[in-house]
Amino acid sequence: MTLGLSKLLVGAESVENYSGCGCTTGNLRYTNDQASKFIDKIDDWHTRKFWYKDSNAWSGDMVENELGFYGQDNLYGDAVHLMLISGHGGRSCSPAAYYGYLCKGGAFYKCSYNTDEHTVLGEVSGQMFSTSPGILRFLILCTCHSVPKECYANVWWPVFANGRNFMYVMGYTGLSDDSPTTDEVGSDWASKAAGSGWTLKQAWFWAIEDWWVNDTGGVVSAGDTQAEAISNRDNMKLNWDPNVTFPTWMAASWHSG
Amino acid sequence: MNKIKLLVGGTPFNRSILFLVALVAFVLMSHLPVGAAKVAINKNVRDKTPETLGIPADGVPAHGVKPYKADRAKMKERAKAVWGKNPVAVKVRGKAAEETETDQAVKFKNGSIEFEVSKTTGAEILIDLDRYTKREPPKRDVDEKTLEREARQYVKEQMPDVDLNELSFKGVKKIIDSVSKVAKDSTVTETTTEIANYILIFQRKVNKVPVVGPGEQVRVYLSNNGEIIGHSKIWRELDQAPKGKKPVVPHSKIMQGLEQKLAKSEAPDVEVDLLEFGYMGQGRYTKQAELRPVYLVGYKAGEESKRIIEVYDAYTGEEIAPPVDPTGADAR
Repeated sequence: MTLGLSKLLVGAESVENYSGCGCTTGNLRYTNDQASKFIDKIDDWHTRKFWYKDSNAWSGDMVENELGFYGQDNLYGDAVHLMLISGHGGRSCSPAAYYGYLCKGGAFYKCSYNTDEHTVLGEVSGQMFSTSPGILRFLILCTCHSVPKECYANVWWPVFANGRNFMYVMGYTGLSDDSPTTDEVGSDWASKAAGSGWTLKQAWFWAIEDWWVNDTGGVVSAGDTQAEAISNRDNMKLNWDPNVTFPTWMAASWHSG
Repeated sequence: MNKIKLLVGGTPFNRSILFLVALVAFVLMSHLPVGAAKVAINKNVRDKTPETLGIPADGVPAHGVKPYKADRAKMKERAKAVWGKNPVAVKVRGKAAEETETDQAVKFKNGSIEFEVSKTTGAEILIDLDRYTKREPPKRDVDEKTLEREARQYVKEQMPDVDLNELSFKGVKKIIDSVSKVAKDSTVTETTTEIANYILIFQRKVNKVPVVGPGEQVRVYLSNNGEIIGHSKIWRELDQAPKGKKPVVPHSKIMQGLEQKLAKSEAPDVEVDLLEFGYMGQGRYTKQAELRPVYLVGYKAGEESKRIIEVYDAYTGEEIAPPVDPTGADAR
C-alpha cells in the first residue's frame, strides 16, 4: 500500500473575483486565503507545482485534454498528485454530476466544468483517453456539494472507474461557508495529513470540525470489494499507492447535524 | 396567438395603454443600478430579536483575555494527568509518550493516542486515532441525552479550567459512514449507512452572551457505542472583571446596511440566511487580547453559491474587513 513517492506534486486553484472574469456566480472573500494557506503549508512536506487564483484559475484545467473540449488537465489538474480547488460548486443527482466553478480562460473558456461531461482524471495506459495519462490521486474540493450524500456514488463512480490512479475526494455535503473561520481548513488538513500522518478522512473531518461554522464535510473513495472500499475510505493516507482495479463499491462519509 | 394579435394590433385605446405601460417600465428600469440583485431575508433571520440573539438590554462588556504563557513543564504535567487518569488513555496507561514540538504546538504521542497543547492559547486536542472516524462493531444502543450527560461529566472531571456554568450544550454532530454497490452501468444497487462517531459540541457563554467563532468551545468525541474517544478544548482564561458595559448597534441597522450593499451585487438573487450575535472567539493557534461582541451575517447567491459570512463589530457597526488578498499566486 505504501508508495515509493516521498514527495507528491501539488497544485491549487481558487477564485474570489468571479465578476472579474465574466462569471456571475457571486464574488467570494476567503477562497484565495484558503488556497494560499494550503499551498504554503503542504509545501513543508511535498512539492508545490502551482497555485493559480482568480482570472488565472481556469475551469479548463480540470477538463480532459483528449475529449475535444479544449481542456488542459494534462498540464494542470491531472499533472499533480494532490489538487485543491476553492470556489463555488454544485451538484445534480440526475444526471449525476458535480459542477465546479472557476474562471473562464484558455480555449475551454467556460465558468464551470462538470464530472458528467468533462473530467477524466488519473487515467492510466489501457484506459480511455490515456495518450497523455493522468496522475491525480487526491482531490480536495473546497466548494459546496462536492460530496453529495444523496448521490455520492452516482456522481463519483464514473470518475473513479475512468482513472485507476484516482483515489480519494475530500469536500462538502451541502453548503460550505466562505468565512474568516474557514480559511485555515486546507492548511490544517495539510498539517494533519502530511505532517502528522493522520488518515485523509481524519485530517479532513478534523480540519472542518475545528472551525466554528456548521460546515458538513464529506469524503469518498472506491474499492474492488466492499471491504476494500471501506478500508480505502477509512485508512488511506497520502503515502498510499493506487490499489483499485475496477471499482464496484463506493464508500463515503459525511458530517450530519 | 390571440394574445400576440392583441398586443400588436388592437384599438387606439389599447395602444395608448400599452404605450403607457412601456413608458412606466422604461422609467423604472432606467433607475435600477447595473447588476441589481433581488435580496431575500430568510424568515429565521427576519424573526430574530435582541432577546433571541442573546443581546443584554443594558449593554455588553468586552472581556480581557489573560496572556497565555507556554510553559513546557506545565504542559508535561497536563500530559501526565491525561495519561494517568483520562479514560481515553486507558489502553496506554503506564506507557511512555513520545514528545515533539512544532511551530504551533507541543505534541505527546502514546500509541494511537495523540495529545496536543497549543503554544499560543493552551488549547488541547486529545484523540485516539484508532477510533476517531472509525466505526466499531455495535455493542449497545446509544441515546443522545445520555451522551450529553456523560460528556458533561467528562468535562467536569478532565477540564478543571472550564467553568461549567459557562458551558452551554450546542448540539450533536455525527460522522456518518456509507457504502454503495455500483453496477457496470453505474446503477447503485445497494447502500448501507451507519454512524461512525458522535461529536458533542459545547459553546461558552460569558454572562449568557454566547461566544461564536472557532474559539471558546469544547468538543467531546464518542464512538458509535457512546464511549469517549477524545476531546478538543479552546478555553481562554479571562480577566476577573469585565470591561465596562457598552451599547451595541441594533441588528436592524446591520441588516439594513447589508441589504443595501447586496442589492448592488452581481448575482441575480441573494438570500440572507444567517444572523448571530456573540463574542468572537479565535481559533486554537491565534493570540487574542480580548473578547469583543460581533454580529455574523451569512448569505448565498443561488444554489451553487458558498455561504458568505461577514463579521461586524457590534460596538461600531463597522464590518471587520477580510484580509488583503494573498500574494504568491503563479502567473500564466
